Amino acid sequence: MIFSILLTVAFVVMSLYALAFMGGRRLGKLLLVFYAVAVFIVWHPEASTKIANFTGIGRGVDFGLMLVSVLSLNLIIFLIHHVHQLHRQLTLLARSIALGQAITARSALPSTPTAPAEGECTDLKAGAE
Amino acid sequence: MTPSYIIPGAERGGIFVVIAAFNEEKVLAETIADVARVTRNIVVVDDCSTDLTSAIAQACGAHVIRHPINLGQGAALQTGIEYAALLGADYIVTFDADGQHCADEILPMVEALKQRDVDIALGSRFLGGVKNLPRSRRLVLKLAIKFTQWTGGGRFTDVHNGFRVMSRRFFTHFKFDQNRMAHASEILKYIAANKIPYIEFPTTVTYSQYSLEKGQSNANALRIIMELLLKRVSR
Repeated sequence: MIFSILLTVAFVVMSLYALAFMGGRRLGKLLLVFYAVAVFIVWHPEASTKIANFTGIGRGVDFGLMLVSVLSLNLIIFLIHHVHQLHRQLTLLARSIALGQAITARSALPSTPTAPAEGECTDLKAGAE
Repeated sequence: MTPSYIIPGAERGGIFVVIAAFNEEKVLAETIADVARVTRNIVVVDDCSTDLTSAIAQACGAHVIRHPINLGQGAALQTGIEYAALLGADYIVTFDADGQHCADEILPMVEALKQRDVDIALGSRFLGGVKNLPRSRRLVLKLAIKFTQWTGGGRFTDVHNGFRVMSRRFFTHFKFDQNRMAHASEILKYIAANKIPYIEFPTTVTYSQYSLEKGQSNANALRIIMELLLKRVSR
């Protein structure tokens, strides 16, 4: 009973997460269906055995293990999505800082910078080598 | 991406060349000098180099933007494009920092884009010329062309060529979302998916010992595929 409640809470939390971050997307909807089925199986374990027998897996436990594997995969997808979002925000922030600094520096210049004639930057180039 | 304002005092219009650079102190001055024969509007985006890249670009008279952290070539190009747009660019040329492109081809490419009234001109080394290309790299590039075709990226004679000319119409609508090398596939996919009018222009790519060591390794092809797949998953 306790395990069933804990699992239900876990699935509900993950459903809320899916709804909040991926609700409108096809993958988000698919995950919601998946979690609803998972909660049903938690409270009706005999159903998992029936499904397992029907699908030719043999035991409900094996079926459960397979579900856990799928769940782990879902978690990884969540994490990839989350990391990607963070990375995108970080890119925008870094770009904003870089552009801001370039514009400020440019505004402080007395005149427009222009590229030099040939050979003008030889000194620095030689220094770099 | 529409610039909300134009930087005060900026020279409006014209051709802007955007160069993404990461630790390119050895060749950058030469590349800038080469481009400066064609246009003085040169934007160098230093992707958080640990060498003298920024200082050299500054000394050479380029507009310099420096990323506070290393983001990748795609992100650096996007930063440069946004900056050039703020300066009122009419045409933006993306150009590699390692000196493998030929600046003499910039103006003919821009002219071809204008005459054909298309939104983007893509450099093609296989229509033009390629010097010192190792056999293994040629094979990887040919496979990349096929991969792009199979994955709905369109039929192109060259992929992952950093030499392009974009019209204002193009760069105000398109934005590089792939930070790293997969940006080159991303732009082709965008062109194919949105049926953007384009031309492929024969360009010359000269591989040097430096560009081969500094540029993409063949193993990067796998990384690019992974980046494209991850983007699909995380969308």
